[in-house]
Amino acid sequence: MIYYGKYFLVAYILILIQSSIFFKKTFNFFVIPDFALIYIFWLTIENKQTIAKYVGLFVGIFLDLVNPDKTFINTFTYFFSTLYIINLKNNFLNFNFILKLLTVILLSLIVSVPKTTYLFFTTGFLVNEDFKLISFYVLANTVMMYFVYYFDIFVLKRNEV
Amino acid sequence: MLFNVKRKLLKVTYFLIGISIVLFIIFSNFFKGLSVDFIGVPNKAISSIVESFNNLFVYLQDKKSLLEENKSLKKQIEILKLENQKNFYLEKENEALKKMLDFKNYYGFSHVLVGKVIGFSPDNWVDGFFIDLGKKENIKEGDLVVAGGYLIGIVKVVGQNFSEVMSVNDKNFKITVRTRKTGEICFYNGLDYKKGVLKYVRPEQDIRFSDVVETTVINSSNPEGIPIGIVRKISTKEGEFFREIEIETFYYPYSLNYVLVIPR
Repeated sequence: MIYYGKYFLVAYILILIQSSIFFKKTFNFFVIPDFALIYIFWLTIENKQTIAKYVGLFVGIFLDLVNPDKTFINTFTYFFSTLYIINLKNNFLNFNFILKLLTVILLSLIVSVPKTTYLFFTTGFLVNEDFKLISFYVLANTVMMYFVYYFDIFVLKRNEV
Repeated sequence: MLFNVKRKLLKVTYFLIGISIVLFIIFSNFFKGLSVDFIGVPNKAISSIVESFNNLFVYLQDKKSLLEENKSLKKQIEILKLENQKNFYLEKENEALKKMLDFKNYYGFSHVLVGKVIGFSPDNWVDGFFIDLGKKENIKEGDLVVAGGYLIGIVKVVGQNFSEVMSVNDKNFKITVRTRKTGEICFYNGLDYKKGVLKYVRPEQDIRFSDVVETTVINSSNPEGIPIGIVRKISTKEGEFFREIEIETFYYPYSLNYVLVIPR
C-alpha cells in the first residue's frame, strides 16, 4: 500500500495543480493540460503498467467525486484509456516518435470524446466550442507530454543517454 | 698683471651670468609650472597607489559590515514592497467587499455569507469552482452564489469546510428565470464560456433584445431579482416550435476572488 501510496500522492498533487487558483489565473488557459493523463502515460512508458492501472482508476474516481454531478464517465474514460495504452505498450516494446504522438492523441480522444458525448446525451447541447475544447485538449496534452518526456530524457536521465 | 685682471673680470662675468640664469629659472613662471608638473606626475602616481592600498584596506575591513548593511537595506526594501502590495491588495479587497455589501443592502437579504474562491474544477468539461464555506457555515445544496451583483453559480456539493459551486456557464446548470422588462417566465440553461440559453420559449412570449434575465421565485425558494445575464441573440429555427434565445452571462473565472452566498 505504501509502495502505491507515493504514486497516488503524485496523481493527487497533479490534480491539485490542475485545479489551483494560481494556475488558472496565472496562465489564463482556455484548456488546462491533463497532467494526470500524462502521468499515466509516463508511468506506462516507464514499464509500470500495474501502477498505471491503479493510478488511472484512482484519478478517474477522484475526478468523478469532485464533479458537481454524480457521474461515472471519468472513471470509465481514464481506466479505459489506461488499459488501452497498456495494451499498446505490450504490443510495441519501444515507442518511436510517430507512435508516441499517435498514442497521446488517441489517449486524449478516448478521454475527451466520451465525455463530450456523455454531456451531449445528458444536456442535449453540442456546440462548436465543444469541438474546440476537444482539439485544444488533445493539443495541450501532446505538447505537455513531449515536454515531460524530453525533460525526463535530457535532464533526469541525462547520464544514461 | 693686466692678463690676471682680465681673467678675474671674465670669471665674475661668468658668475654673474650664471647667477642671472639661475635667478631667471627660479623666478620664471614657465619653469615653475614645469617643475610642478614634474613633481606632480610621480606624486600623483604614488598617491594613487597609496590610496588604492588604503581603499583596499578599508574595503577589506568594512566589506563584511557593508554587506550586512546592504542586506538589511535590501530586506527593508522588500518588506516595504510587500507592505505596498499588501495595501494595494487590501484596497482592492475592500472595494470588492463594499460592492458586495451594497448588493446585500440593495436586495435586503437578511443573511448572506462571504466566501473566498480557493480553486477551480480540475475537469475541463465542468465549469465550477470551490469556496471556503461548508456545512459548518450552514451552507446547503442549491444556495445561490453571487459576484459583482450577478448570479454566477449554485452550490452543488457541500463539504464540512468547503463547497463546490457549479457556474452559470456549465451545461448542467438549470434555473427558472424571468425577463426584467416583460416578466416572461423562462428556463435558463448554461451553455458555454459567458454563454447560456433560454429553453422552451414559446413564439408568443415577449423576449426583447438586451433585456436582463433574473431569478424568480416560481417553483423555487430562491431569492428573486438577481440578474443572471443579458439577452444577446433571438432566433427561430426552421421546423422548431420553441425559439432560441442566447444569453450573455457575467461569470468570469479569471478575476474571481470573493463571492456572496445567499442561503435559501
